[in-house]
Amino acid sequence: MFLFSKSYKRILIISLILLIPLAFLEKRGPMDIKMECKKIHEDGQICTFSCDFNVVSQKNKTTYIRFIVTHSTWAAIYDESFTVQTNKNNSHTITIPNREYTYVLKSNCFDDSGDFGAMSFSIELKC
Amino acid sequence: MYEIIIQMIGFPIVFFIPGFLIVKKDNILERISLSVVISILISIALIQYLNFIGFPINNFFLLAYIPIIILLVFLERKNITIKNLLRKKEVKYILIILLLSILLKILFFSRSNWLPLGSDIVRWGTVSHSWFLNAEITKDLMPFFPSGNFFIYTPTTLFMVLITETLFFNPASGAIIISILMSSMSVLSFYLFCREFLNQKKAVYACFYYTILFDSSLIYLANRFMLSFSAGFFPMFLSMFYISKGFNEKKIDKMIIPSLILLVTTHLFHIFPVILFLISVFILKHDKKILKKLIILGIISLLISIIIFLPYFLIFMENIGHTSLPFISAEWYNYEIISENFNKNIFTLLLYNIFVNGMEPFFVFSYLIGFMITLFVFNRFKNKKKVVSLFFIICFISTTFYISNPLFSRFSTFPKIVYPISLSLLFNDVGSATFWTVMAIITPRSPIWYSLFDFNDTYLDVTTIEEIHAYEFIKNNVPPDSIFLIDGGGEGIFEGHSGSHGDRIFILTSRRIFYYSGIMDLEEYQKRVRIYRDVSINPNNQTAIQALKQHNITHIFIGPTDIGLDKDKFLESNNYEKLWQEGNVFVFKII
Repeated sequence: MFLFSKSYKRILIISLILLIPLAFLEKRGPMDIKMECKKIHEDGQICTFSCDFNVVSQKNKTTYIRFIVTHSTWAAIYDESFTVQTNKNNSHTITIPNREYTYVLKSNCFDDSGDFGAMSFSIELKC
Repeated sequence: MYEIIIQMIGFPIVFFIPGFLIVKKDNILERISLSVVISILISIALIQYLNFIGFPINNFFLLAYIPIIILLVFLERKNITIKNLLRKKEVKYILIILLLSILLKILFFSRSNWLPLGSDIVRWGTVSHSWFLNAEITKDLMPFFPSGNFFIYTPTTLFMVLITETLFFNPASGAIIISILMSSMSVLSFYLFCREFLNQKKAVYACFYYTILFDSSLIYLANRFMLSFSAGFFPMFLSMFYISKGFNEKKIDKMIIPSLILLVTTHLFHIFPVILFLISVFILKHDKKILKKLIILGIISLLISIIIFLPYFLIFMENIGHTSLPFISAEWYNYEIISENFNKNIFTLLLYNIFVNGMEPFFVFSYLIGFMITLFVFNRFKNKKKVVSLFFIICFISTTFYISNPLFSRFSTFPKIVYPISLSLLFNDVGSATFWTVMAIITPRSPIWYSLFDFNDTYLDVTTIEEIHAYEFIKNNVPPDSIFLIDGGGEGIFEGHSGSHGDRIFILTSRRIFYYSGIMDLEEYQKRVRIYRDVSINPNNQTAIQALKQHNITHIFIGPTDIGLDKDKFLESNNYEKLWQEGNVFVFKII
């Protein structure tokens, strides 16, 4: 039975050798997004949310930030990107149709140098 | 009628007969498995190279097999003694299990109204159908799909869908046929693998338990229809069979090459844990001669796979690096960081490997049963400490991949291969098999349970009868050059999903959809999302209507699960005419 023969210790050693670099692999992008959103307007047709955010980075630079609002898991109903300065407080308003539904907001950022980051959680937008 | 005849004759010709004429094996089960693998590879090479030298892709593709089959029959000198081979008891049992496996999948698909679940089929089907309508393999899917740039790493399943299209199947039906073929063959190859280290009786029972309780291929089909991943289990088990056979017989069979090629090209994303597992096996046996030969055969397999897929890679070579564009990297990272697996620690992930289905983390009860039985039978192995160590080491290796990339979480399936084997060591009589069949029926999320009772409805992906009727209406009544606005398109470049199942319109009716997944141009993508949002907020907004007209959008499709497009607003509007309605499914025309 080839699966269960000798030399299991070798496997253990090899596994650990493989595991260690993977376990310590960089999990976070070089940029991070802090964000809070609140509803500022609602009528029968639309909801407007105001989101205060800050792209946290070790370097002060210009970066693209992207806001994506989805429904039905992956269907995007809002997707906009624009440039902002890192490490500065910013604000952005999002308008989406009122469906008495909980949309999901995700956000990520990237720049031309190849750096990227993302908000590590999604925000529920009830509208 | 003519089309059905072509399908009945064509399917075995394309996916079985050429291989069957080439392969000469005494073991009929091995011969069947290899025949399918080799036929798939021949068909994929044939369609690519014929297109490469200028032949269009169309329904005459089957004619290309005439000279091949004549040649192979001419070269075939050995009489095929299938009758005698089938008389073997072992073969009878396995063929019965194979039929059971096929039946479960037929039941499963019949309950989903003969349409695959999930959005993967839309991705494969859209590319395949655009190629078919364009009559060539091309990276420019215009005018059928707004994408001039894309690249898919797992071309085998894509080409298999395309080949079924040449046999008059639509991409969705083709994908179902391929799924039934590949997942059923995975059961057969699992038996071959087990037979290498279990006696006949125990191997038959292991195969049976795999079919009813642990068939990973079907479990993945039932969850978002992961076609390519599901198809990969067949070549994976077959490769493992040849490797174990090689170690047992101290001689590696060259027939491992076709199964390795198929494994690489259906499983390319996911090959790494398999490789690690194989390395583990090599280290266990540390037979340098066999190891050396395996490495050589592995390299040969890679080279042959490059030759087979050369036309494809020549077309798409410049797009290979597109996945590392900054905004796509950020998108992937966003997807990963929010996914459940990403923030879990290594010990939780280890538990995932034991009990939980990977990609969409949910608890599978049969895995709990399997693990408990495995713990119990550890005592029955000769070196129980080593067995326990090995099992957890494999889980551990698999866990490491979650950490590096949550997409690898689907590999949590890999350690679970041991569960049906454990069951067969303990329960190998008819009474036990009956008991476990009843257990499989009442065990949520077992393959038999999925086939009979339920789906993973997280994505509301079962296409309704009303929607199918709407597709029929569109096919018969809507002009071919029409373009449909549907409810949503995709979260980003890679993730395509519509809440409405309107995304199936193109693959089933050839009418185009205003879709925005798979577009590598962020600006164009966001422009499309903006139009969809504006129409959702107010369908009477003249700027939005003008934008629809500028994009030649002529119709609106609204389904029962739609969120953005509100049927009431369209019904009230004078800018849209209701063409069709059944239940909550609507087709509107823009006036």
